[in-house]
Amino acid sequence: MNRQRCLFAVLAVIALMWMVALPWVSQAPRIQQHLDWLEEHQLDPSARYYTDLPAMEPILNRLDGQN
Amino acid sequence: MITPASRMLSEDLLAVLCGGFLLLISFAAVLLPKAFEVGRNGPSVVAGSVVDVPAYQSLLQTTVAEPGKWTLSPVEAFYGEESAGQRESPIVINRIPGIIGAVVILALVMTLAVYGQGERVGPFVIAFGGVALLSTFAFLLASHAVIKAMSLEYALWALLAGMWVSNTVGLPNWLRPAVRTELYIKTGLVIFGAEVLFGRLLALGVPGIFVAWVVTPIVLVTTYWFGQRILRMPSQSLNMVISADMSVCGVSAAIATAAACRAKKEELSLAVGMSLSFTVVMMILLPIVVRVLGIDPILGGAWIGGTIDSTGAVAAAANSFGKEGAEVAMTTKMIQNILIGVIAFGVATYWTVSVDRDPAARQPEAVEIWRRFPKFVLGFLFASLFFSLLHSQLADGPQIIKAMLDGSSKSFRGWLFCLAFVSIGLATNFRQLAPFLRGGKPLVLYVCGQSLNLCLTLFMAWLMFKVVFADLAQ
Repeated sequence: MNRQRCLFAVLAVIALMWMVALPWVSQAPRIQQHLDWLEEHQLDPSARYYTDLPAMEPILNRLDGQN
Repeated sequence: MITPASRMLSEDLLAVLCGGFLLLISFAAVLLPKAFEVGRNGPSVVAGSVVDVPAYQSLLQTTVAEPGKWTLSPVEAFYGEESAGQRESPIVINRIPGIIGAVVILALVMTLAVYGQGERVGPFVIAFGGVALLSTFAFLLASHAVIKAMSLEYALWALLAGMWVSNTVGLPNWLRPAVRTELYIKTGLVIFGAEVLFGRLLALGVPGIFVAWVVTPIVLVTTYWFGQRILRMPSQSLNMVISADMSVCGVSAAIATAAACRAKKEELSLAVGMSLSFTVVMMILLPIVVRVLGIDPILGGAWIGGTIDSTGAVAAAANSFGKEGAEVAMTTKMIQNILIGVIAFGVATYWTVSVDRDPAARQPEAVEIWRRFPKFVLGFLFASLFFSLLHSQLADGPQIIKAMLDGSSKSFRGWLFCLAFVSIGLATNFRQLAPFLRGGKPLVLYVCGQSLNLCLTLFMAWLMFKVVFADLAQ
């Protein structure tokens, strides 16, 4: 029973972080500005490989001769 | 992750077959519409305006997907707007059919693999649903805009999602049949091979090769040697995985080398955690150092591209240097990315010939080497060479391969790696990680290796872009 309580307690913390704290943080002017800048430049800092990165597309198109 | 040799062969072959099949359907999904096409491609007139229709599109484009980026509500991850480029307005996408489609296709393929291993499929299908649900949850956590901006990719959240369950209520018995870390990783790596295109190697000419392909192996080998001879790390595989993820390209390299040297799941978790932590720090600090030292954008871009682990973090860090600096950084990283295949093959060969052999035995014979060699690495390399060939030789090769990757194969690879990290988390107890951290050796190894990487890459980038090929760089 104790273990299940622990499971739900962690879930509650996650829900609080992701559904309240992070949306609130993302609305802060400086963070919002940074997120908009990333969006505008098609940058995804979490991209793992070059094929995951939208910003690579113009470079790859040029390399492939598809201007 | 060490498995009995007798079983490894069948699992490796199954991974190659499953990965090959998923690549085949991804490829066919691009070529089939073209084969039955009636009209022509190119610009079309829609509602009075000219719209660019891509020459090749995958039939699986909307059938295979993962949760998208969200900011205010998690609902956006499943049904929300997506940027369609700088010039176009965002489009609304319903990702739910794609998520269900990806899980169903992977469930079918993995069930066949489990059947091929002679195990019961019923319990696997039920368990796979549970692991896929946890993977969706991990994707959801990783897709928040702020989390993505911090470069904390889904591998970390998948690990934590699995550990959340296993360290609270324990691994439920009904989930156990789908905890198949190796099968998911190996299949994912075979699919990943299609993205390792050797034609991209000369994108920056000789300077790029020197920065990415000469410095990186030197740093990798030196760091491994340092870990073994100076730090005397007890685990050779942990030493190798940390050396590879730090010198090549973070999580992707860690996954490939861990599978190639049969590292323990805790070792991969530790290497991934360290790589992501240092990526966040370096993504913030390196652009500041470049500006403070007055390093010019091309040199700064090459330095950042060759040193920061994660590709996305390289792009974010170098974008403030202007167009040229950012392009040099991203292209350097891309060339380094392509090194993964060669590194995985080299590590698998070294482990088979040298590390795993009985010290009392003579040099192993070719048959013995072949028997012990992880065959999925050959599948990974074959996929890489095959799709590199198609990319360079087919008339519309680049467009076909791009449509295949964007249409489905990248999603399959992402889901399989996410399933693998959830599986690792489900089988990991926090206490099991403690012995690997004892004495702080992994941390010392990473810091020393990364310091060497920073110095050597800066020197080589300066030598190539500012001395030897200064005119070319201009």
